[in-house]
Amino acid sequence: MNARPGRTRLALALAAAALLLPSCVSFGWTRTHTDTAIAEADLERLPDDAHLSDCLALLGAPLRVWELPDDDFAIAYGWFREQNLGGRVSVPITDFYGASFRYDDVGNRAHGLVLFFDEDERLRHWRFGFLRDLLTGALQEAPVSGTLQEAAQF
Amino acid sequence: MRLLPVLLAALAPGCFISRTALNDPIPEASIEGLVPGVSTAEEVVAALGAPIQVVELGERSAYHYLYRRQKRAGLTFIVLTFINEDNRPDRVWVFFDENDVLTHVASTFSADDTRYALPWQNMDAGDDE
Repeated sequence: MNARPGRTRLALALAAAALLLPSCVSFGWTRTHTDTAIAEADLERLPDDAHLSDCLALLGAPLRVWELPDDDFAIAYGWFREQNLGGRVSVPITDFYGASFRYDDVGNRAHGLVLFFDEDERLRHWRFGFLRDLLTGALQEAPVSGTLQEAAQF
Repeated sequence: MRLLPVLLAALAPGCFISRTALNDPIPEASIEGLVPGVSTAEEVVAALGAPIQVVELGERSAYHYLYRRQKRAGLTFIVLTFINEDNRPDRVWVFFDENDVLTHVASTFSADDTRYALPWQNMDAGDDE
């Protein structure tokens, strides 16, 4: 006779928890994929005296193109892979103030490749790394300042 | 039994999909008629429209065309949320010499490969297809 009200209370408690819990506790797995990644092995297919046309044929359209001193120029490719595994807990302290704790594990950042060409469109060298670092370093050589923000955008 | 609908409603997963695009699509056929050494900047603009960016390379120049597609899919189960986002572009760069004659065309058409997925699915698998 007493078991039935007990089960009802439990079911009500579970339903209330299911409805109210997401407002203060949440866990998430978010994954982002942007553009095609380039591997260092891909560049081994370039000939020794690679020309701009060889690079474009192999790698496709770049993300950015910009001028360097002495009529040199550079092209950049970028790709982005990110995985966020995170949780969030919010605890009310008073009627008006609360505390929250958040933990995110950002697995990756945007990566990139910059290829540098001379005025005859011959490949001088290339560099892999984090796109922001590559663009910051490469654009410091550029005669036109102020293009950094633009170049860093996908 | 009367509480079953309430429990089902509370436990039922929520899901969404969304699709966004940046700029107008670039017709792949429109670059087939561009001939390096022959086509001029005027002809390129007539075929592809206005570029989103023009870059000066000394006496030379390069025009940038971009169309980007994004697909997002999400699944929520009480306190668990899974979201996946896939972004792929159709991108074209055309290079001109000092006389505005086309020298190079570089193209990447991958926007059609953008797909809905969930975080545990490998999005790199189709990159080389």
